[in-house]
Amino acid sequence: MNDKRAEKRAADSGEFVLECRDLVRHFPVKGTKKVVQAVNDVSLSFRPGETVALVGESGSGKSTIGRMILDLLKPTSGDVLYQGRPLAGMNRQEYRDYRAGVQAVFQDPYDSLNPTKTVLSTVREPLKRLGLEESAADGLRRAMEALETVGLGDITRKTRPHDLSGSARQRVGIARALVTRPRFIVLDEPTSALSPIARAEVMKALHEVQQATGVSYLFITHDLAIVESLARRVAVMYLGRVVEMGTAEEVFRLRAHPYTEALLGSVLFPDPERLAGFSVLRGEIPSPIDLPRGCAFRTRCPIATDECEEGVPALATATGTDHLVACIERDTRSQGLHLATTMEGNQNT
Amino acid sequence: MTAISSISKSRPRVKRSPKSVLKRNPQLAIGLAAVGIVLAVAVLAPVLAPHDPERVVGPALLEPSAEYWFGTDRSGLDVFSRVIYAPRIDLLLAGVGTLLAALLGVPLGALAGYAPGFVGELISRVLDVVQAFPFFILAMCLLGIVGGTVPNIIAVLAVVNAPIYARLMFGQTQTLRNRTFVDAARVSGCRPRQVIFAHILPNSMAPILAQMSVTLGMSIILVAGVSFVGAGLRPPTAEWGVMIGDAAGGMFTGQWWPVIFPGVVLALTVMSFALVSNGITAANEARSRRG
Amino acid sequence: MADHIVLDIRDLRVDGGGDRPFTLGPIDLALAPQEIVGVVGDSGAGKSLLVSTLTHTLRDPAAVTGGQIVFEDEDLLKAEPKLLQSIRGGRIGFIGSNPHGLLHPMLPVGRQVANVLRAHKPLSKAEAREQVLEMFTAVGIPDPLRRLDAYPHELSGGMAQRVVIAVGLICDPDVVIADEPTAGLDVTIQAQVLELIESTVRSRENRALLLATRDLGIVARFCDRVVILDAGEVVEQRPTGELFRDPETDVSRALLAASRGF
Repeated sequence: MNDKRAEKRAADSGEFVLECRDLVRHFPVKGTKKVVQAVNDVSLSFRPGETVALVGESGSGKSTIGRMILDLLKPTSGDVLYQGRPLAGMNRQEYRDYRAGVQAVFQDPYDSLNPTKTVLSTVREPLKRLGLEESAADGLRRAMEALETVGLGDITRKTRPHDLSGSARQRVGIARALVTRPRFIVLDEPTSALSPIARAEVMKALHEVQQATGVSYLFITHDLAIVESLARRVAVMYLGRVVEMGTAEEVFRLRAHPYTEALLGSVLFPDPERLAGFSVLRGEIPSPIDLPRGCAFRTRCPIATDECEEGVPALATATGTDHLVACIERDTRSQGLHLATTMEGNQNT
Repeated sequence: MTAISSISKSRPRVKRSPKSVLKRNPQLAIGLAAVGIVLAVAVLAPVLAPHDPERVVGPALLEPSAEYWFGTDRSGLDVFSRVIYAPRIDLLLAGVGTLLAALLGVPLGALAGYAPGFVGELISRVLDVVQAFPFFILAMCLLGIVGGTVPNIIAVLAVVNAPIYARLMFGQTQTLRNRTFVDAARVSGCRPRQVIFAHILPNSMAPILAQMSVTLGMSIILVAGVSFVGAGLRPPTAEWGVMIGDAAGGMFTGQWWPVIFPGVVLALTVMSFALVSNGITAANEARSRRG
Repeated sequence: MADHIVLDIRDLRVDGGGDRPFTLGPIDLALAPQEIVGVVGDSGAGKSLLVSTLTHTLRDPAAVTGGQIVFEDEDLLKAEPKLLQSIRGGRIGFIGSNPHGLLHPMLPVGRQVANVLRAHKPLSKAEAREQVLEMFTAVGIPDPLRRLDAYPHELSGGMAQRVVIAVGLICDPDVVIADEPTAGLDVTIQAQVLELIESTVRSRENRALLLATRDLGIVARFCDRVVILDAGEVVEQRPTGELFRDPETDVSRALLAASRGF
């Protein structure tokens, strides 16, 4: 009894809006006994009002995590907790609260809106389905308000997705995610399908929404060039595991994990002066069906040793703070050894 | 940013006049017009037909003339009036049969496509078995067993056509459930039933309607066909297949008119439904290309 | 050297045709040897129309309404179909995005590249295969011998994109037209692919690259010169460094701002 109350207080005090605890997701491969290890032992926690970026190559498992947080996919093991309560054990009312509280903006604005429905009814849908509107008129009014906050006040009752540009469609997606006043929004590559100007418009809209409502974002992206200015914290994923996590500043500056180093080294920043450290990561990402033994990155890692084969390195603090790195060589790394030069010479290990 | 901001503004909706629909999609326009004519004839049959279709009006087997435009058949019934009355029963049977087939097949297919694992697999196998029988032979056998009354013919049409809709909807559901807007609907709080009815079904309407138009045409042929071989409606019902079956023997002795006139009208009717079906498919493709 | 031009686009005008009126041009753009020129713009600026014009893949109802595309003293817009055949894909190579859309799904990728080569050079099948193998190695396809007989669906996006690059480069072209050659690829692969294209272009004296992209990061790293398109018009055409230091028009300022977050 006391435990429960304490748990509730912890949730209400709102240290974490949402947590992922030891999430694992394996997909069986048809016709074999093998599995795709999409996500392995990922734990993340999100504070109110902050933006956490989840970055990594395609196939790193970042979208799978997003889908588990949204309950579009059940974890093989591990829990997603909303306000301290695990999704699996929620009663009906709690689950509704979670659905209203955790929303999403998806990657492709040309696919994420039902083409047969009007924009207004799409935005109203969460209110209707979750029983959050007093009447149809109330639902439509609030949908219209949400559209106004993303700069789409000129939408009419008849507007359909194909009447809109990519940027406008994506802002409709944001309005739909906002209409329930959620505390947490999963942004799954929300700008990668957009043109540069549209991308800037959408990012601006997302920023303003966060300023106004204090919502937390999980920003799933492979566009590292915009992460730095956008996210407070960054988690870098490689083949289903988080290999480095910390504040954006720490991760971008220290690049403690050799994969982070390589990944950031490949980023083309829109600035001709900022070419230093440009390095090319050799080889392709290994298959998540047959993961390399030990550290999964060792097959492409410039500093891998025989020891790396022995076990999966745990996430551990590198600099005595919240900054976590999963690399057994991290001690030498955190002392500031720079690898840009060794990277170039070391190909296809 | 002012220089380029207009890019993100709403696109004006393109208005299309009826004339441009005809030009863009002649199949749909012509098909709908033809179907409209058939429907109008059926509704107005009592006004249009010069004679009672089921009463002897004169000598048997008169050649077409000013009095009997399509001649008379071997019982002395007016062929023209019978041809005009026939779509009443044919369209009714085909229409109700098709509707029931869709109402039966679509939910079944959606369930099979959306339900995970076992249920879906089971429904799929049952459909395979039903569809393994040739459509026409299956219908004939069933009618042979239950007898060719109007309700029985409708029921048989529904049963033999339902698997087509189930399979169509199964495929649609499997494709559409992977679309992002279905994920978005789930995040918006839709239960599986709501996902199917509010999101998957509306996006499947075009292929379903196109298929219904095909089924209508095929069902008319089926009704005429089973009646022709004697397993369906019986003379003196004014029905194209009955008429053709009743008069078929005369073809060899030179009395072509009681066969050819209903035959041609039957063919044209089925063709107009096929045109409508093609037109719907073309319109839907054009719409999805515009995005 | 300075007056030598590999490809010269003069006063080019194209009518977009579609439902909404859109005209491209006039465009004046000369590619010098070893030069990499970026063509940048927001969506709808006219990049794809320009690329289709240059690769002679304009689709009805779009049509060229004026100007010249001069390659070796020959106006390609007026060239005989036969000459054009020999130039397109041969002397002028094309690298597109969306590899799985560009490659024939039912043919082994090695054959596809070899077919392009044999369309332009009188080689036996064995000789062509040999050259394709060399090209696959050059574009960094691991285990190239086995990949020659692979079908497109058996390749990852990065691998298929390398095949598309091989198609563009196999005939040792003088001009390479690349349209978003790394769209949809991961950053790590993107960097590899672009370095590869760059080194190939710079490896021969008389070769130039026109690179259409909306990613200013790519432009900053790889292009010597940038052409900014807006609503079908060239609004700015300058060396890359200058543009990034001191954008002159609202359009380029907006594009730069957009690429740097918000």
